[in-house]
Amino acid sequence: MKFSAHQKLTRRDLVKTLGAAALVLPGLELFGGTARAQTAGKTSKYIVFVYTADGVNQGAFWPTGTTSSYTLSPTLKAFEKYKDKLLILGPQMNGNSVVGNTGLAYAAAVQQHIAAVTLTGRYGNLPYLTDQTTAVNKIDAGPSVDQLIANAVGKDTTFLSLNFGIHPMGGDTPSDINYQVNGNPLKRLISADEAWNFMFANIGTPVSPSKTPLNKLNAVTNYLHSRFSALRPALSSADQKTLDSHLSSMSVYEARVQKRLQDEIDGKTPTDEACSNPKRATVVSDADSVRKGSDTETLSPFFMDMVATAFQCNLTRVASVSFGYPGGGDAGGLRMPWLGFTEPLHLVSHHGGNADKLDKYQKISGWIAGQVAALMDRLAAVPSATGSGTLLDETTIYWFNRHGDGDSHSNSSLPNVILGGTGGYFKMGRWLQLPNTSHTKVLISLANAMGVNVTSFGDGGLAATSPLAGLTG
Amino acid sequence: MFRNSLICAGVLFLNGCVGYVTEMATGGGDRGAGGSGGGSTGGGGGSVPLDCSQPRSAVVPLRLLTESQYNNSVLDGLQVGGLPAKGLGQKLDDTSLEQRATVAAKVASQAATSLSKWAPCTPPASGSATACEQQIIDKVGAKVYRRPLADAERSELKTLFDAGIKEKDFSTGVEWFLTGLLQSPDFMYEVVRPAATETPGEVRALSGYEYASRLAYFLWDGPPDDALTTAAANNDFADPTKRDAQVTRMMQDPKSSRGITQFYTGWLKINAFTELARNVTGFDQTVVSALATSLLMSATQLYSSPNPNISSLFTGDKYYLNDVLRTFYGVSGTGTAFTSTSIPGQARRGILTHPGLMALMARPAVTHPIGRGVFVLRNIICKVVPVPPVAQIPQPPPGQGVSTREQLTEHTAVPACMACHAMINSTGFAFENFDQVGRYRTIDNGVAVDSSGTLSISKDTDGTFATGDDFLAKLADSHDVRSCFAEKYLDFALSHPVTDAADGCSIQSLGESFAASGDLKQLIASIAGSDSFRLRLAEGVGQ
Repeated sequence: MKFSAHQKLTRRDLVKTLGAAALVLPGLELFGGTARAQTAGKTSKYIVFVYTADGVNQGAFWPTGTTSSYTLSPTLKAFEKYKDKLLILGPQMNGNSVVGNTGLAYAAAVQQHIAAVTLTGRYGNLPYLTDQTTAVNKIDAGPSVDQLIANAVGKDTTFLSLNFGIHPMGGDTPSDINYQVNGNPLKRLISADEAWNFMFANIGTPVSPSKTPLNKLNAVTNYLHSRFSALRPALSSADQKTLDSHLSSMSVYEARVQKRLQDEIDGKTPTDEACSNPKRATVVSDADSVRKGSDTETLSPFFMDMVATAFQCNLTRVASVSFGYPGGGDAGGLRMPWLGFTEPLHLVSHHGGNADKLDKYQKISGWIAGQVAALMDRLAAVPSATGSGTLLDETTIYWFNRHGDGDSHSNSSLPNVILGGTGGYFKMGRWLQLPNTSHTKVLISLANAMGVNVTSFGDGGLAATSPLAGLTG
Repeated sequence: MFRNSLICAGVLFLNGCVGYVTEMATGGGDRGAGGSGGGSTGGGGGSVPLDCSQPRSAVVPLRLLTESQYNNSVLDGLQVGGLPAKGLGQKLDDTSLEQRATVAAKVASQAATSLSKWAPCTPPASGSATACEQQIIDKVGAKVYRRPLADAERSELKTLFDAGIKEKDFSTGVEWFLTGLLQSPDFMYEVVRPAATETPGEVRALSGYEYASRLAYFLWDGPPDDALTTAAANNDFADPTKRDAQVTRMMQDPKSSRGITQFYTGWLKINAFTELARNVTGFDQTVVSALATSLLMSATQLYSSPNPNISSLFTGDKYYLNDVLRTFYGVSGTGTAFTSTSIPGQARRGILTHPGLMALMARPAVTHPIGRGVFVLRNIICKVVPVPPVAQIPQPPPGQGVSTREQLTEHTAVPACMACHAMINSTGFAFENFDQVGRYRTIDNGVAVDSSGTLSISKDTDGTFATGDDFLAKLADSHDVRSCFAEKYLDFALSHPVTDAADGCSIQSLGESFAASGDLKQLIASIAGSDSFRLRLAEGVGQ
């Protein structure tokens, strides 16, 4: 289809353009309202997925006490003031010890380290060893739950989702967590400038904007769609799928930029200070800072700030922030030199019971907990658009990990927690001690919390057909 | 080979070993580890011999240009430098495509201001510019698509160009035209079109233009030039003599250093230097980047000679050092340029003992024989090393007066561990004379360094060596090492890991000729003429 210079591309056009290509969600209409839960119950408006690799120091993670009355561990103590907005999805405990193979767990056959499983509930079948500077990491099929949610709730926002990464790629183990329906991984924004420029491309628009950028976009769009249409029938069916997937992503981007440029022409740009003049950050990201990880100390708070700003300014309702990448040998991705040591996460995660490594392992997780708490602070400072409460009340945060204990690459006692007000959907302020429980059930619960009415998710041995019982009030 | 790896993994799974070895191993190439390997070239293991009486090759799917190939394409075609594609990556979601659109617009805008550098014409000061517009479309369009344009395609491009002219002026037309071209699938991907009449499963030659593109991105990491396009039009590549002549010409072009650099960047893990950090005073960013440059030069500088031989990669005690590295490693000499410098008396031999490579495969405060061993087994000898099982035995704390070798030996002493660690440890221990930043040493934690070992992996590197230097001498003479190198280079040329079914015969033939000659430039020419590179397995046109 062609677009004239003055014709806006709507999401409905988009669905028509894309046809059946890779956009079929069972039981869901992609951008329509039917994907929302039919019940008028409480739902969360925003959701943030915070990923960390390589497990945690299990001995310093879980609380002590009982389900409703407990003392937070060194790692979780950053959430002291948010104990009523915390839901710990823990394993069964025997005193201070974790009972083996309990808590949230993956099927035992999951490939170690590979991160794709965390939000897809799928094995992924990615090669374990691929240089991540050139890897593509496409899996058989998606989506990851964040994208399932994004496709259902993103129709009124600029971006379906915004995904940030702090040293998200490296080494040779696939680290992607966000997957489209067709199994393609999503790019993460990895630097302060990249994120800001991408999110706020409309900032600084002149008072009388030219129509030229929109005319150009439309002319180029017409040409490109014509190219894709001409090339497709000449290719093999496998190559046709590649082109279809490319075209569908391209159409999403074109629609977004068309709307932005049209809004500029129509003078529909943000007026409040937070959205018209969003904070920038100067993050030193020269080679030495990146190599030593010292950029992380300022990059992480900036990304957390961008998540809150994105919600506040209606840019998106779904965000993710990933910390580091899995494995990576002794480079190991995530370093926090300001904590007083230079060893990367992966190195200390292979603690072998060594007290010094365990201490450093805990400190890294504890610092990330502090970042999640800071995100909660930031969300709590913004009043809800409804007039009562704050963004934090309407937000669900899922802080999750690929492993339980990094040293043994364990797939159980995953240190995953839900935080925030969750719009009242989950019954918070609790420490659950779960038997061996499919982590995929939590993904269904999270989709349901966002009003996305699915009852099954995942694939093969990782598939689940119900949400996790006992999480809601 | 494959069976061997299964036994090893299985036993380890039952008994457990600490398993962070493979994360330091290289990507790609380890085709046995994923379960699809067999090993016509890998040294036994009960595989069925391949039938090489018929040509074999693999399907050639759409391939997205890499960042450097994008950069070189706009550099060669539009004279726009500055690495505009840096950071674009290989993803194609909406975020990435928006960034690609931004990059395309920037390149286009820069090129539009300097027409005379790359365009076949500039518009006349007065009068109609239509003729020049059409020339640009025909010449530049074909160059960017890397094939001749059909009439409908010329017309598509003219519509876009005209829209820009109508919006403002000729220069705007150029800008819109280029912005579109650089986002077209015809540019972004290497495209192989099935013939209308082909039967899925048959093996066919690439078309002349498809081959020219594949050859140019292999040898130059950039697009075909006019001579290659002409050769494609004349069907010259079907003639081995004319094909070889093109390859010879291309290897003499300075652009060939780009292709060579790309291979060694991957093979020697040069990108990993961005994260290299060691707990050693003075090991700062300037040392790290100088190490990466120096390591890469050790390989690429060989190609300035007419017949570089692979043996030079594994022998010699000369390294490219600048003042930063000379100071850090305590070698005499002056000057900021990297010059070939002797590091005598240290039992160093070629790239494998280059301080950069030794530093890359170590831990922050100690060496890492497992990482070094796995790298050499996988990347230099092409021995399958399975992915480690879930770790179950805690690593003991380092003892006083215990060497890294002694500690690791004790740690992996369980027979089940030794199923794999016999070869891993021995190979890694050969490098124990080089510490965590690649400095030569004879004492480790108060203990005299022992770099001896024994290998028994059905390769011609098998046997006992008294010192690491002896082991390195074995590698330099090994035919299996040469076959392995040929296989790694073919991986690179094809842009995907080879498989036995599709590429086994090409690998066998390349390995044999390269083992005999050792000529690095001849290897590249042989790959360009191999079935795996010239041919494709037909899929037919999709419905």
